Amino acid sequence: MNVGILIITHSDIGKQMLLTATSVYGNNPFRVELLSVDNYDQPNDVIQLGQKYVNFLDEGKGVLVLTDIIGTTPSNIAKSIKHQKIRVVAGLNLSMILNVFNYPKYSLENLAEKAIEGGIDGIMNL
Amino acid sequence: MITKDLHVLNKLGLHARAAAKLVFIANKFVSDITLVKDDKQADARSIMKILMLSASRDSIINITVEGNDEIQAMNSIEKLFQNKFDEDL
Repeated sequence: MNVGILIITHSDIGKQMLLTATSVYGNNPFRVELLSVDNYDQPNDVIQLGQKYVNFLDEGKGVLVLTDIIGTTPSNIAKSIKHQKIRVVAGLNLSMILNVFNYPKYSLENLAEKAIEGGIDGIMNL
Repeated sequence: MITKDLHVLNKLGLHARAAAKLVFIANKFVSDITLVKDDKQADARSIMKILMLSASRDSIINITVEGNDEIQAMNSIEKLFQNKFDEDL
């Protein structure tokens, strides 16, 4: 039993990142759901869907929500989801997902830290 | 403690899938496994730290293994490097 992951992004950015991370590892160690948010979506509808996903994803260790840009609709939706054990991390990039997949047995708190660390590690001058 | 210099032989270098394989192998053992390239150091159980070494083909990585199963761990890692991370390239 691992933490559940919910990815909320603009359009299908999250889907492509998830597919790439899964391809890198050869498998996906988490129960993951995706929510793509487009211009025509009603935020309240998406929040309700996100709420359902989070309830489904939590097998006892909580749910980590990864979203792209802070202050945007996907991030605002992520913050609106209510759950007992939930952590929301913004700034999603591929290195963040790769790092999360590296630690499938981590607790929710530690996994959220690894998400942030991986996301930041991937940004540098070359 | 065992230490060895290993060559990155595969065409794509120590890229994402190769790094994931290294993490997978490292997680089979209890020993501490550290990679060093130039002035950068990485834990072999962290994919991002490995990728941050930015090791392309022909790089030389210094590997240090320390722990109860260090011989088996080093053998497995050496084999992975020699087999070009199981890539045909």
